[in-house]
Amino acid sequence: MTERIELDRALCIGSGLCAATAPGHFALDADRRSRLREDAGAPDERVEDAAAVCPVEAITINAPAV
Amino acid sequence: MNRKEDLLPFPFPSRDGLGPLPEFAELRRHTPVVKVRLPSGDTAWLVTRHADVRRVLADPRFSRSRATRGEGPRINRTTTLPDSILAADPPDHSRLRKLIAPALTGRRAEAMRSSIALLTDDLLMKLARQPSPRDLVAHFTRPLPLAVICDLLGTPRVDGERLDAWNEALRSVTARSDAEVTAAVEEMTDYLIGLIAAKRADPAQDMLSALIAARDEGDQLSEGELISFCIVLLAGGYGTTSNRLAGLVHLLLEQPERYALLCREPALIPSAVEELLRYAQATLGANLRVATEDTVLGGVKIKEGEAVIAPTSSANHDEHIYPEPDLLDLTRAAPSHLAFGHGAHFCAGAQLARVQIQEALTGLTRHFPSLHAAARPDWTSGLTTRAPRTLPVGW
Ligand code: HEM
Ligand code: SF4
Repeated sequence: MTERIELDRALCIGSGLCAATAPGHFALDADRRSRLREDAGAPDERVEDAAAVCPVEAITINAPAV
Repeated sequence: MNRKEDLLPFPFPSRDGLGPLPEFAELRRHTPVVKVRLPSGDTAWLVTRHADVRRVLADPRFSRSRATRGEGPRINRTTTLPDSILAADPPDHSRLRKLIAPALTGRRAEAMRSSIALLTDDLLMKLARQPSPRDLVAHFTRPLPLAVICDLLGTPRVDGERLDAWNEALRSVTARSDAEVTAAVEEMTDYLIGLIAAKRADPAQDMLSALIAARDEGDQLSEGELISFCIVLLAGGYGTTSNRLAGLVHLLLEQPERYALLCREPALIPSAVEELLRYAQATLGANLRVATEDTVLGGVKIKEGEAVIAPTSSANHDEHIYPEPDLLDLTRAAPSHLAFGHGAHFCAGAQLARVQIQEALTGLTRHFPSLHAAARPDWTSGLTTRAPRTLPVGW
């Protein structure tokens, strides 16, 4: 089972940090909020970095439910 | 091919005030991607529209590292702080950014709000006891961010006058020689080495101690990176914030009904701050980025190794995004501006800066409802940032 990336779009301020840090996983929408890319794979180190640097803590990586 | 003399020189000449530069508006309309000549003599592509500026700042193919290391186009001949966070690309950038991000989240900034409000009250009560008119820069817009950044870093409230001189040298692309900028960095470095030694001997729960621990225990950054980090944090946390705060107050007092509106409706302050940040063209340049591969930008081919300059001041006045962009409308619900940058280098202190500016304007309007400009401000000149050097106010 893989970990899940959760993105709280209500918190997002559109900084673009995640899209620049983990471009394979995040992209900004026309409304300037981040979204998970449809082709995003399992979270990797870049995604962990994005979660750690998001200024509003909108990104979390959840361990799989057992 | 363009001959040397045909190219537009960049940055454009500064004028007093924070109003929109006509050069940017003209380019946005007719030549949104244009080749310019930099003070170093090198060339760069200048992009002026919101979409292109955003793309350059967030697209990893436009590299800060390539613009600061090795050979390549430069704004000035000497590169200051090549090992700072501002000169790194992800993933190396993330290693540095992760060291400060936890202390600067929106949540942490909110937790600092009440102490910032107290600091504000304290400074304003002292000012109220002085005879009117007084210089708001010396008495308020500088001391507030200075106290906040020193408390955050965990340093004594360092010498503001010396910081001012260094900050000015760091910011100036056109006004100072490269040698002067280098000298300022060297002096600042010596000063910080002393500060770091004192903190090493006496660590606490603050940002400087955390950075020192990352250096000494985790080996997560070099000594040079540690010094550069302190310079960037002081320059951003103190220099930029105090400049913006003074500029924003100037814009409010320039047309007294703006200030009066916020006195009457303090609930407007948070969104008014965003509109003021959008409107103010405080920076006339931008940090250079270099393309790491051939690409197309706004319909123009950019070759690998070419430099791109993406000023947020122009993006923030793009008529495609903001109707009547040159109108400062405090009630405008403006979509997110780029005054704090975008992408990997999005300002680390943005949420803290917002809290400070909001509290500063809340305090000012409450303590001084009759605040007004007592004389014309004195402006920084010949720099790529514009800010009031003095702000004489009466009440
Ligand atoms: C109104 C006040 C401020 C404004 C307008 C501002 C603006 C900016 C901008 C535009 C950038 C990006 C530069 C680039 O992309 O080349 C930036 C980066 C940065 N700012 Fe601020 N800033 C402000 C306040 C602060 C404060 C209060 C702090 C510290 C507590 C701070 C710390 C930083 C740092 C560390 C970076 C580098 C981030 C990185 O490279 O990842 N700034 N700032
Ligand atoms: S880093 Fe956070 S705030 Fe910035 S765009 Fe991504 S989710 Fe939004």
